[in-house]
Amino acid sequence: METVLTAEAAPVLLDDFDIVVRQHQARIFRFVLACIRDRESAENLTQECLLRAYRARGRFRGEASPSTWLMQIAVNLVRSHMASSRLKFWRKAERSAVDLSSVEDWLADPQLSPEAQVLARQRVAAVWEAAGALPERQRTVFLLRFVEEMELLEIAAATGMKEGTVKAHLFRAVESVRRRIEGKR
Amino acid sequence: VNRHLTPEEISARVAGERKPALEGHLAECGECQAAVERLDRALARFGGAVKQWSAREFAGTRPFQLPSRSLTGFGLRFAAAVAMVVVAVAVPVYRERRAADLAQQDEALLQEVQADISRSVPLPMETLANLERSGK
Repeated sequence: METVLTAEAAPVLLDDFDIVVRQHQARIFRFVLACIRDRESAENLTQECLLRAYRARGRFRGEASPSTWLMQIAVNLVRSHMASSRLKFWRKAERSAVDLSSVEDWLADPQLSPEAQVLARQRVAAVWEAAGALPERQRTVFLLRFVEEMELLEIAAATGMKEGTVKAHLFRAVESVRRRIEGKR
Repeated sequence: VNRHLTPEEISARVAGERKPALEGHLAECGECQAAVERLDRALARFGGAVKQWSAREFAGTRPFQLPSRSLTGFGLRFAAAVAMVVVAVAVPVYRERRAADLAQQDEALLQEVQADISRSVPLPMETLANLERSGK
């Protein structure tokens, strides 16, 4: 569980950057990977995110938690990456996109009957597809909420949006996903 | 609210919207509760699947390493400054030494020429002149 730091304590912790890396690298990688669905690019952007954080650590004042601050850097990197290489991204995505089955296969719930397992896998696949088709800001908000389990205010801080805007994007995203799950287009 | 929640209201509820009237209906209506839970569960399972899948992918990634100090940031600027100072000092010294060497070579050449000019007998005739002198 992440420690929420006070403004006084935060710079002290960020001085030991190895701890920051140990605590947050996997989470940053997960968010970036879920956004861009390309392992190699996700690894590179995660490294870049940590490098930028390292260089800017002196300016971290603890207004947000280190996690939110790092996620803010990651969100901006993903946004730049998608904007600067949109064509390349989609061409590459066609060749090396993460296989849907690789996500739904990780649905581990021994409580479910075989039939329920199949249904649950189909639903996870539908959510994965729907999330991939969302506009960039909706997808970002959706993943921060339902994968990273961040609160609306944290998402607002990480994305630079107002809380009301976050709510609106989240509603649109959930509505799109619900329609996809229910087979409506 | 005496009616069931609309699909959009279910999405809004799952997205975090809380309206007292809808909450009152949800507390009493099993059908609407089930619809909300179904969507909630699908999203929770999606989040769980992404986490597990990502953890496997992360296991193969390279560890983060801070850049070498000699190649970045302050180190790079310091190295560049040192190189500039070395060049700034070395070039004039090299030029001075080179000029001194050239001057020395010129001086030696001048002395040789001077010696050649000041001979009483030209060099090719010197052996003959010596024989003549010894014959006296």
